[in-house]
Amino acid sequence: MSSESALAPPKTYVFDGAASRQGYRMNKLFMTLRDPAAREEFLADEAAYCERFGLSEAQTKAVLGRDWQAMLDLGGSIFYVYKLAMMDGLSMQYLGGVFTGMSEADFKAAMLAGGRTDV
Amino acid sequence: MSEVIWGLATSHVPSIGAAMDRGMTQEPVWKPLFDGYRPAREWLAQHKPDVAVLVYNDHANGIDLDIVPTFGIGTADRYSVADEGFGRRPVPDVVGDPDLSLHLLQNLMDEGFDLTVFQELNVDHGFTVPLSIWTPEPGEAWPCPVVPLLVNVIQYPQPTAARCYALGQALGRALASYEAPARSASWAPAACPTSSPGRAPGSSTRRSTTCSSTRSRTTRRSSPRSPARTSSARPAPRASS
Repeated sequence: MSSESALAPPKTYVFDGAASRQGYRMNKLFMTLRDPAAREEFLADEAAYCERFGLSEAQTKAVLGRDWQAMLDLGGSIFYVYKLAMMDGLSMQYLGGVFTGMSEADFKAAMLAGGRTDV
Repeated sequence: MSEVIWGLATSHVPSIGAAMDRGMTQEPVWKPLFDGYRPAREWLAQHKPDVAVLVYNDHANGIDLDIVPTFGIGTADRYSVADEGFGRRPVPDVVGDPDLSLHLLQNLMDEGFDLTVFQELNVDHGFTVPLSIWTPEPGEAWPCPVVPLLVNVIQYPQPTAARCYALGQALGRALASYEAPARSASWAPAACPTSSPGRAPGSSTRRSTTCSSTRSRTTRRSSPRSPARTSSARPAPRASS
């Protein structure tokens, strides 16, 4: 994330040019996961797959450890990160819970109750 | 000349499509939303256009981050429904209207909008959900050809609201000047950003549901010199907000 972004809303990410440059290779990897054959290849050797796409050490660690927050910190776009989550059978609500420190069930309940109103 | 006969504005969050595909529209959590669509659907079913223009954004399905076009237009005669990672939605592929696409491209470029041209494009939920809201059960095909008009919302900076508004106005003029060979044309912009989950612990995990969509009909005029009918869309049936 770029702290110099012209748009800097509090407590959220702006996927801008700097973030896209930082996360480019990782997002490119995520994009391939639309293809079933690529998913098989990835799952067979995730580290090798990350290396092939030229991910940084920190990005590789985040991907292998499914550290969703770190992926965003390292330039992941949620629309791309989500492809990895989908492959794992996880929902956007699950990710929402991760990003807000809640369980998926609590996150869903919070959304049904109207979501956040303090930002 | 062409006439805009309606506009539809709707959210396109993928879960709306999933709820329809899985027969969940009458479940308590979904019913209020779909009840809200009913009046618009009934009205729209009686006002079938000849062609639609759908303004939307892709979500890492038709386009990746190699190239991030600010505005784009499809000029193909067919658009496949994308597999977004969980199998493609069980809805028909989209038939395009290359003649109208090229007319719009020329006119919008002449007005200063530098559009990226897509001769191939897989359309994702940003495109198919608005179509489903209009036509819940399309059967083998959607009711009319559809032209995709893309607006980047995936990577900042996005075009300004003022620029998008100007594009919409230019689109209206371009449609009004379209002389379709013996058929009508209609259009349906539907652009809708979906905001993403933010940073913990104070993150905002809202999903924006602002989305606009418009359509129109082209009717053949008896005289080619007749003044272009300003495409002042009728009040857009408000499907959801």
